[in-house]
Amino acid sequence: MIEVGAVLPYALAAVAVVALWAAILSHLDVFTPADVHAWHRLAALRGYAPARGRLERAAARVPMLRRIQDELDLPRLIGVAGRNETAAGFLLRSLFLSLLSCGLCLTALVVALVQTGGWPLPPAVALLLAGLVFLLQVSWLRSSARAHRDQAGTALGDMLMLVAILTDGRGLQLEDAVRILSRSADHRALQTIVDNRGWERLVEGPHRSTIHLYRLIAEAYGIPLFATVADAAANANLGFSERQIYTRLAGSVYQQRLAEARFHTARAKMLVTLPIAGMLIPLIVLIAAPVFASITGGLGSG
Amino acid sequence: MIALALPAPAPGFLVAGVVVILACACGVCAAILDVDLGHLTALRRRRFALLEREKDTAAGLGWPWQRWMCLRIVFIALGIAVAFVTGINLLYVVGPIAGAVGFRFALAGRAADRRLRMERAFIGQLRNLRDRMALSNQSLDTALQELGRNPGPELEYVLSPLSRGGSTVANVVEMGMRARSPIVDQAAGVLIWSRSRSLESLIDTIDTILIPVGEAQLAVQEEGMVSLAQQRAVTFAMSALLAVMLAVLLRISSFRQYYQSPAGQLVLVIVALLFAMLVGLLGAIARTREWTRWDLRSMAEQQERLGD
Repeated sequence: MIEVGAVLPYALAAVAVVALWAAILSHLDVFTPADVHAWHRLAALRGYAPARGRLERAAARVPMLRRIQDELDLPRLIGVAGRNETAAGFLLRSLFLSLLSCGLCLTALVVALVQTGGWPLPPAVALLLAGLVFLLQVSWLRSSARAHRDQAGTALGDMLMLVAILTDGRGLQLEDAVRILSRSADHRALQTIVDNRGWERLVEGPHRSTIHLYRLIAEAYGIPLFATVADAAANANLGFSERQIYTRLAGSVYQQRLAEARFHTARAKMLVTLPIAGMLIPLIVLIAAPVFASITGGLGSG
Repeated sequence: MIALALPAPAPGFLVAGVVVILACACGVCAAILDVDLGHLTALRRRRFALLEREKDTAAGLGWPWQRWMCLRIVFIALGIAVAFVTGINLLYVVGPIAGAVGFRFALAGRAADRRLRMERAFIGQLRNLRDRMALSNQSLDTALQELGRNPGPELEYVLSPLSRGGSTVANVVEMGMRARSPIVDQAAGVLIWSRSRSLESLIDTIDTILIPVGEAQLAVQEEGMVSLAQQRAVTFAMSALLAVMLAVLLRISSFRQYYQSPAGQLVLVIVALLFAMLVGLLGAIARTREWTRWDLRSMAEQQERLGD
C-alpha cells in the first residue's frame, strides 16, 4: 500500500526534473540532424571555429559561469588534456552530473522515507554529494592535464635521438619529424599537440616559423622542453649540424633526468621515514584493540 | 489520507521494464555526455596497459607472459585454498589479494634487476656491433645476424630474432618487442630509421648517438632502481614486523579468541587496509619516471612509407 499524499510532491518533482532534462537535451543540440553535424566536422577539419550552441552562448554571457571558468582555468586545462570540448561544455556537463547524483541520492532517500517513515540521512547529504561530484570532475580534469603534459614532455625528450637522424639523415624538417614520430608513441599526448594542428586548442594566431610555434606551445601548454628544442633549432646549422645539436640536446635531457632521479632518490630516503613511522599505527591497533575490548567488556559486565 | 492499492506486476514484466528504463537512461546519458567511440577505444587501450605492465615484469624475468599470468592465477587460487582449509572467512578476501599482489611484489625486484643487467649487456653489444662494422667491414645486416648468433646469456631471448634470415627491420622490431626496455626500444628505433644510410653514417650514429645516450639512459634507470630497492626493503621489513607481531599475539589464548570474533576480524581488516595504504604511500614516494614506449611496428611502417 502506497500513500499517494506522501509520494505526490516527489512525483511532481520527478516530472519537473524530467521536463528540465528534456529542455537540456534540446538545448544541447542532441537532436541536430546528421548533415549539420557533418558540416560542423568539415568546418573543424578546415580549422574554422565551431559554432557554439545556444546554451553555450548563453553560458558565455552569464558572468558567474565565466568567472568560474576563469577561476578554474578550464580552457587551458581542457586544451592541455587534449579534449575536444569547450570550457562551457565541460562546466555544463559537470553540473549535469552533479545534479544527477544529487537527484539519485534524493530518490534513494525518498524511497527510504516512504519505506521507514523517516529520513535515514539528512537530505543535505544529497547537496554535499553534488558538490563532491563537481569537485571530483574538476580534480580529474586537472590530473588528466598534468599527466598529459608530463607524457608529452617525456615523449619529446625520448624522441630527440630519432629527430637527430630524421632531420639530418632523411632531410625532414623538425616539425615533420616530431609529428611523424609522435604517431609511433604508445600514447597520444604529444600527437594531440603536434599533429593535425592540435596546438590550435591553446595557441592562437599565426606563427612565423616552427621555432616561433614551439615557443608558443611551450608557453601555452607549460612544456619547457618545446622552448629548449626551439632554441636548439634556432642554433642548428650555425657551426653545428642538426644531428649534433639534437644529439647533444638528447644527451642533456637524459643528464637532467639523471639529476632529477638522484634528487628524487635522496628525497625519498628522507620521506620514507614517514610510512615507517606510520607503521606504528597498525601495530598499536593490533595490540590495543583486544586490550581495549577486554577492559570495556570487563567494565560493562561489572 | 488516500491509500492506493497497486497490483503487483509479474516478475518478467518488472525485470524487462527495469532493463528498458536503464537502457533508455544510458542512451540519454551517453547523448548528454557526448560519449564518442574514439574515447572508448582509448579507454580500452588503457585497460590493455595493465596487461602491458604484466608483460614487462614477465619479460624482465625472462619468462613468456602466459607463464607469468598462469603463475599469478595459481597463487590467487592458493590464497583461496588456504582460506578454505583454515576456514577463516577473512582469508577469503585477504588470501587472493595477498596471492596476487604479494607474488608480483616478491618477483618485481628480481625482474627489474635482471632487466638492468640485460640493458648493460645490450650497450656492450652495441659496441660490438659498431666494431664489427668499423673494423671487420661487415654490413649492418650481417653484423646483426652475427650478434644474434652469439648473444650471451643475458640477451639470448632478446637477440635471437636477429639470427633469423628475412627482413632485418622485422627482426629488429621483434627484438624491441621482446626486450620491453627503453634502451632497446630506442636503439631499435634508431636502427629502423638509419639502416638505409651509409656504413660510415651508421657507425657515426652508434658512436655519437646510441652509445652515449644509451649510457645516460642506463644511469637514469640505475638511479630509479635504487629508489625501488629502498621501497622494497622497507616494505619487506614492515611486512615481517607485522607478521611477527600478529604471530606472537595469536599465541596468547585471550588475544586469539578476540581475533576469531567478528570484532577482531574487523580490526584485522582495518589493520590490513592501513598497511596497504602505507605501502601505497611508499610506492608513491619512490615512484620512478615512466618511459615512452614506441610502437616499433608503426615506426617501421612510417619508415617504409617515407621510403629509403
